[in-house]
Amino acid sequence: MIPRAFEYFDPPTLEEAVALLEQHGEDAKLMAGGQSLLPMMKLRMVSPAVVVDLWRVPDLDTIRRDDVVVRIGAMTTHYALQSSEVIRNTLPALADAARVVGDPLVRNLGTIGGSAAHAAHNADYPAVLVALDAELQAVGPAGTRSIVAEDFFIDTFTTCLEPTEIVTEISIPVPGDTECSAYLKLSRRGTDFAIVGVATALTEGEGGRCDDARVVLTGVGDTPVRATEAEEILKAGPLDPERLREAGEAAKRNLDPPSDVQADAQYRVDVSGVYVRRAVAAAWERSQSDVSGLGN
Amino acid sequence: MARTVQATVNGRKYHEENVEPRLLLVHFLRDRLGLTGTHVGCDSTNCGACTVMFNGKAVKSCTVLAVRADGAAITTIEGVADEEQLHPLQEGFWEKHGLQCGYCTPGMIMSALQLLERHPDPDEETVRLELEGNLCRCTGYQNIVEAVLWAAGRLRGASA
Amino acid sequence: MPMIGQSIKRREDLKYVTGSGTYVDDITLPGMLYATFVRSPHAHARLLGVDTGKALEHPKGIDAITGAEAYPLAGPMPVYSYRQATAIKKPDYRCLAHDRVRFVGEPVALVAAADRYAADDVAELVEVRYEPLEPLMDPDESLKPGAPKLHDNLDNNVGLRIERQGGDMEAAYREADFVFKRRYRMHRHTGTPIETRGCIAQYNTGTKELTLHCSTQIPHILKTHLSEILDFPEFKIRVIAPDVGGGFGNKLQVPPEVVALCLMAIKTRRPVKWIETRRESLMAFLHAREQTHDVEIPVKRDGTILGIKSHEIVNAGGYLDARISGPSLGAGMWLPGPYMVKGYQVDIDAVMTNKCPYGAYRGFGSQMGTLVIERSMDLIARQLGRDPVDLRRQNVIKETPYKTVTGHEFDSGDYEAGLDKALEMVDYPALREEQARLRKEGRYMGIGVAMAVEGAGWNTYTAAMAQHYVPTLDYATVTMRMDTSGNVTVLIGDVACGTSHATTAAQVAADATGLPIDTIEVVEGDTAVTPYDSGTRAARFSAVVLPAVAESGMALKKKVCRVGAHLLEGAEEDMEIVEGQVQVRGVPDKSLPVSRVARVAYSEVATLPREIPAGLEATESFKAPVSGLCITWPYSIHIPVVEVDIETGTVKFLRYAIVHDCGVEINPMVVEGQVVGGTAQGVGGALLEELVYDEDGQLLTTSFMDYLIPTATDMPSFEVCHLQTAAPQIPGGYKGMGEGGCVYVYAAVVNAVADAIEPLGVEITSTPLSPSRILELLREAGSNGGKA
Repeated sequence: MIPRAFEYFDPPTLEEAVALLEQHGEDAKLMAGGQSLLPMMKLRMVSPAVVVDLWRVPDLDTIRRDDVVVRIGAMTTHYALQSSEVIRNTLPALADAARVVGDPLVRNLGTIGGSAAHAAHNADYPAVLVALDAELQAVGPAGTRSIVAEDFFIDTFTTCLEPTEIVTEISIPVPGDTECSAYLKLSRRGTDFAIVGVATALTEGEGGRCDDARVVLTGVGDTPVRATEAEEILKAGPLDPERLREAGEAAKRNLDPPSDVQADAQYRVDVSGVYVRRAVAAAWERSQSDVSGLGN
Repeated sequence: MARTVQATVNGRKYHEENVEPRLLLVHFLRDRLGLTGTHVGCDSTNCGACTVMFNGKAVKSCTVLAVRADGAAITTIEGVADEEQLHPLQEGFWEKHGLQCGYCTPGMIMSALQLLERHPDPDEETVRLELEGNLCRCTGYQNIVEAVLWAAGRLRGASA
Repeated sequence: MPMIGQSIKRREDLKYVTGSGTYVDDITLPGMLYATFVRSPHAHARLLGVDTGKALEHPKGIDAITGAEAYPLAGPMPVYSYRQATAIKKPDYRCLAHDRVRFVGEPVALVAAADRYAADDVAELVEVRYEPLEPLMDPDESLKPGAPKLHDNLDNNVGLRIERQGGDMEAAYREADFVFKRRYRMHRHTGTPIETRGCIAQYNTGTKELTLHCSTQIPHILKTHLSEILDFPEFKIRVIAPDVGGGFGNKLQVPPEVVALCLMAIKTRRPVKWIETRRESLMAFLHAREQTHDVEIPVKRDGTILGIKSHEIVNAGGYLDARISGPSLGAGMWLPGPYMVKGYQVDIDAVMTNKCPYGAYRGFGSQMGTLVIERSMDLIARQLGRDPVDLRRQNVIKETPYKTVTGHEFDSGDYEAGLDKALEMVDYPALREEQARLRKEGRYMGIGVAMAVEGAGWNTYTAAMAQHYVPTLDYATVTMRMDTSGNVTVLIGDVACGTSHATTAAQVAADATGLPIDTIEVVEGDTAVTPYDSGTRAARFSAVVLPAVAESGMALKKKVCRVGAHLLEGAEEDMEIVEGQVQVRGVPDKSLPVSRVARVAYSEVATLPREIPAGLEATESFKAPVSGLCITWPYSIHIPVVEVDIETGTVKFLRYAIVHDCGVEINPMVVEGQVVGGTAQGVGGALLEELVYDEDGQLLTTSFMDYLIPTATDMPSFEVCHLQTAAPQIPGGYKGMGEGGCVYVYAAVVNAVADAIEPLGVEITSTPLSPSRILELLREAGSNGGKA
């Protein structure tokens, strides 16, 4: 199928891109990798009058790390993330997510900034960004601002960005030596959106205890859902199988997931518990085996 | 607001004027340049029949605007063989019966090209994972996997 | 060295691996327009008006055709019906809707525009007014007394009824100790070739000829039907099927869209191309498989299966596709499976609903009949406390030929030996031990067994209702022509759609003529140059067409030898062709190159005696013997081994073993490709694919994002064992096997999953086995694995 006609701009600078967004307002749609936007345009589900394409803007696809933070350019592709040593070693949950977004061909073009700003309710990154306490940098007419991931996602396909704002960078704190993370996704086929995805970040404490835990689910609400009750349970004592099970059960409570052709709501509730348990176990195992080289 | 696109496709330079912004790369290749080996099998970036190498990366050309090809280097299935000499992947698909109707084959080969660049000595699981973006309805993938493993062996032998 | 039996590389592949294949969309004709269909967004609505005014004001809008305009120009779409069907008036099925729309995606109008992109824009400008009506989505609703009629000319919503019985069902009931009863359901899904439908129609005002380039499995049959529908002389229609990107039975359809496209070509006097989008394809190309069976099986306590009876309901959709009776009857006729039953009875109702019309897809109903009997065998075994393999062994047909209660004669093969071979491949006893061990660990492995005898070369439509032309599949005609340099063209009216004809036909032709295979080329798909043929379908190519290739090859060889005999001054019967030389048998010194013979036959005709005709060409037909519905009887045994994650309902394959027998194999590599490919397609059908409608009749699965065809990681590695029992009735002994594994795989996979979770109190009687569905079954059984 064929997109409806549109006016096209591919400005070479962010400033010009912002100016174009100001000029065209709600009529304009920003394109990063195009791997979500173009299929929707082809199916004529979305038909922007104006497309502002960021592909010519330089330096938006770098991954930099210092002692405290990893900075990821918004136009960094999924493939770049999944194959980055820095990401794999420092933020394993993000690498987990990057390698299961779409398929290898989509991962060559699709970007983390584009995916975050698209804000599909069943996308992989949003849960990971919340779990890893990421901040998103956005530039707009008024300058740059930083948005905490948890505040960024408002609804399905809706973020707190103004129509004139562009995500430029995602920054994620470098985890400490005792921290570990994982993302685990359940989907019909490997290439499909998550039925349920669970991102978790844990801090190992004394005596097999977990001092801090973040557990965030995707696919079960309009935005990433934080399983705070499960987090509390995980922190309350040694991380044994029974505690994991309890955390899983807790994560299922108060969920109100959608039903669709791939799975009904009850299924999503059921497997949410299972996947919380499995994702936490996977992250924990990582911290025990130490192969992830956390914090190095 | 049509544009001009200058691109290098299969080593040849093309200069195409009046490219509508909504023109998809796959239709640019097929309808404008006559390179019909790249196919279309879906509307939703799932099937991979349209896979081409775009600036060194295998991408679905139905999900790239042709205007982005300005200045790009593109390889399509028509540019994979070296003159009359088939690429080992092409030989492998032939040798191992990795195709039946042939419709997905060009895209499959383009994906496999990238697979072997990234994983010169892949195991079966890697081959299957890296071909997840290409759908085949005829073969059940079994002989496609065989074909890629065969070609990998050939290529390693050639570089050894 | 004979070519038959060799796994030679395919002769068609070079073009495909280099991107030089030519599919319909690769063809551009001068002055060509592009067409887009306007389709109904409603499942059921009265059509109040179609206004193409704004569309034609678009600068690139060339023309438009509405249902009202098409109605007098194109007659009803064909329906074939089995002779024992109760004669029912057919729904009035036209190429464009004209009074009511009856499924989402039904074509309402057609626009032609100057280019591909503009056509979509122009189509959006067509204004259609509808009065929505209540849709009927479920046959049970359609059959309720007082349900609104979907077609005014029908008595009710039953589109087709077939009643079949055989053997002595009364005796079966009489002797039974108990009657096993179940309701089985298979869900709606379809073939989805990666190349969608597509066609270019062209009308020549000077010659009054209509030429189509069309992605179809049936160029000749399509031509015949178009002639009927358009009231257009058949000899003025030419259908060319270029490379076809997959068919799977779906492309046996006579597409209403193609009829409308012909009208547009005639109207505009320009070539018009239509390439279906995937969304259109999922909405409005044929759907398949959706059936329910209410089954009764009389059984003796000792495990003897005495008979099988079913009331089969087919969800036929908004109109009857031409082939509605095929998959309907196919399911019914396959109910007794490979077992020695006394009787069978099936009552089939194909019921009108507001879904996409129901048609042919690989397996043609037999996979449903096989699912019913093979699932029942497992459940009966469980009820009797028997091993499912043991129960099969007790009941399976022991000797062939075997006359079945369905009126077939299973021609050859040893089904029990095949079963043994499959059991040996997986080491069945060890698997059962492993299963018991894993269960103690809380892991759920399942072993599925399914076996069947499949029919090749179906001839469902013998003596049908006479209103439409009805193709018959039991004969083929092939022409073989040697050119002036001794090379041979084999002309076949079929068309390959991944089915390797250019290779296997050349192998047979080489052996029949004695000529080197490199000098033989196969040409198919163009009705202007090939003999009439019913098309690529029903696994008939090997069983019916290849014997015709052999006949034709032998006839050509005879002609070559005759000329050769004259030139070598020998007796015709002493001639042979060896490696491109005509020679006196056993005397290589007395020989001539075939090229020399050909030159004489064409250009030195005057030197030949009067009784030797000029030229070297032979046309021969092969008429296959038909037994009941089919011509030959390949068979197969499938044993998949799976593990079910009872917490998520996901199914993982551990192994998949297949034993099959399709008679003499012309090219074992190609055979294995078909077996594996067909099985893979059924794995997708059993586990992943489903065409889902909501209550309002909206299709929810309109892209490959939602309609999940398997990827490389969803497939196991299949292990295939080939048996080769020659078909006794077919010269060469070929049985045909294009249905591949598609007949057996559903039953096998469902049985495997069921076997895995059976200890948890779950019984499976329906598909698809999505993870969500499996968890639901576990939940209902109180064995909810979802507990975290």
